Amino acid sequence: MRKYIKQIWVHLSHDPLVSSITIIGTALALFLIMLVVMIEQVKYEPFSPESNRDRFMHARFMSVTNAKWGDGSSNGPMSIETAKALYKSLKTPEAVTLYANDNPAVASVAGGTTFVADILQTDADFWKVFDFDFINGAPYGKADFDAGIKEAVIIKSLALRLFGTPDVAGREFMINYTAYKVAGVVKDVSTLASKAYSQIWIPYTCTDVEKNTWSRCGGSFSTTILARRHDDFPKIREEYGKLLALYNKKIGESGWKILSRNRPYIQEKEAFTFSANHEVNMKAKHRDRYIILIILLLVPAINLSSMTQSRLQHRNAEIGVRRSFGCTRREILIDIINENLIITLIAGALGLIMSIAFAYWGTDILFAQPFSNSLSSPTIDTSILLHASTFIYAIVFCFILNLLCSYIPAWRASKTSIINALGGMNH
Amino acid sequence: MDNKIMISLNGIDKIYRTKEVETQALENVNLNVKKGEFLSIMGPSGCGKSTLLNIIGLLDLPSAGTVEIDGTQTKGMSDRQLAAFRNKMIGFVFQSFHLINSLNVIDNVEVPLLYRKISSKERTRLATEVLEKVGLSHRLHHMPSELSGGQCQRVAIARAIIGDPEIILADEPTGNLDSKMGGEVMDILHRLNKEENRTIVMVTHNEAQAKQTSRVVRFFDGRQIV
Repeated sequence: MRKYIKQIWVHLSHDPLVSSITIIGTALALFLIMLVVMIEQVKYEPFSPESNRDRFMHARFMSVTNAKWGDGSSNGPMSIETAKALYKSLKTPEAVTLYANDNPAVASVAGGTTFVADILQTDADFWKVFDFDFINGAPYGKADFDAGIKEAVIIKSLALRLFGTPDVAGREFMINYTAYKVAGVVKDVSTLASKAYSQIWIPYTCTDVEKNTWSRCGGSFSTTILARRHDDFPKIREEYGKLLALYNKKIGESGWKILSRNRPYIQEKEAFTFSANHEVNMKAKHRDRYIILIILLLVPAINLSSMTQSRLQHRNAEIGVRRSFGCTRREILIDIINENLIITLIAGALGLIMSIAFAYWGTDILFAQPFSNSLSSPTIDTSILLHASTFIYAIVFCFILNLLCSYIPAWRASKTSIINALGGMNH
Repeated sequence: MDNKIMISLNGIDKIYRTKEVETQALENVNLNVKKGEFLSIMGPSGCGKSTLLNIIGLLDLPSAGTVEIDGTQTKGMSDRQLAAFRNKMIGFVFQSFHLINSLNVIDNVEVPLLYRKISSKERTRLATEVLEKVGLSHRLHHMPSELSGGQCQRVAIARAIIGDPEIILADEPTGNLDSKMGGEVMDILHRLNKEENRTIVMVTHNEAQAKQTSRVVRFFDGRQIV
């Protein structure tokens, strides 16, 4: 290894311009690829308060049809009755939460400035499914939820704006000019945690959101299911199937029928679901992702390959000498690929750092979706951007890029006859 | 020198073919070299001396004929077998030294041992030992660009002998050196031949140097004339 690094350093310093272009070119290629990976990863990799994404199943929407509609269907969030019948009644999961999005609320304290904030109406199990970081106070419990007590959990930055301090549990403030008591204060949540995100959370029992229904089964509710284990998904689906059959029997008497569309969805599928009446094709999504990654790898690899070829031409004689003294073609091939891999890994680390930096500073460009209702920009931190898999992806892409850009030049170099290779000696 | 045949060439032809031209570089060469012999190959430029040396060194394949080294028939050997055979049996000394510029002296000398299962510590020990033998123990960590031509050739000789090969093939080893340095290099080669009984085949244009060797063979237009 020491010799590889020493040799690489000598060869790189031999032609600083070409070497710099090689490293920067490789770093930029990895930078672009890692940006694509990060944009995807924030949708399904775990981070607080959605640390259990690998155990999540979601049903943001339901689809309902009526015997009189033919092929038509009505799609959207669920009514509370439907959500309870199909999901809240599940026994297999560890917890099931129902929640309803609402228009941004006006938050204020008496005599103070008003602020527009995103609000989410939830049940008490919401705090079991998602792992918020409480700075002060505690979440509202089941008893308060059942009693419809007007309590709220708010984010730290809102607490600071309203009260000037985060230690405000028990204090009163107004939501849409109605008094609420602060139950707890949590660390700010990124909009990238699309299910848990809000700035204010209140029990849905203290509003009339449950009354909002349409098309028999439609309403304002979505659900997130926390499985005990990742392996429980099939059991949960099986139980859901039974509940769906029972519910359809009940509503079928008046001609209604819930269409499954294979809900509930796991985190990744949910992340790619944009419309209520269309089930996303994950195979096609994966295929598209691979095609994009292949293009992103191939284009720079072709350019880098010719630069590798050019660098190797200076080393023809060295290859001849090594082969004269017992090195096989295969060893030449492996040596060149290994040397190039070290360069690619160095450039890859640079590319990864660049992509992380860009993700921080270019948050609005990269993570334009999902918007919050109040159009808050997503906040980014290392727990969101960096996962073990991020580094695995970076290393794997380095290996692939290295193979793509060094294999053919290395193979050609290894096939050069010893005599011809020695003829290229400059010294 | 004993009577054991170390190198045996039988009916060697070498023809270089392009689309338009066919050039016969060697024609029906038959040559035996005994163990411990110091053989000089002489002849005008382009007569096939270096081609012959490359074929003996298994760097190139003959168009016809066979090469036997230490009783082993080399025809039909795979790339891996040829590489292993070269590594074990043959050390090369080239006219233009062919040191690897990116490696220092000791690393250059260690090159043949990289392809054997030898620890780094042992490689360094052996390299230091052979560099002492060629009088360069004070230049271990110098780069080739920091050495004189004579010193470079001595490094090249150290590299050729570190693997303890039976045969040393030297292609005009003094061709790029002045007479003093050339003399020093020749002294080392003679010592290796006499004291260690290594078989040496040397291509040279220098009559005086050739006369000091055990035997001289001469080539003209690809044919052995003496």
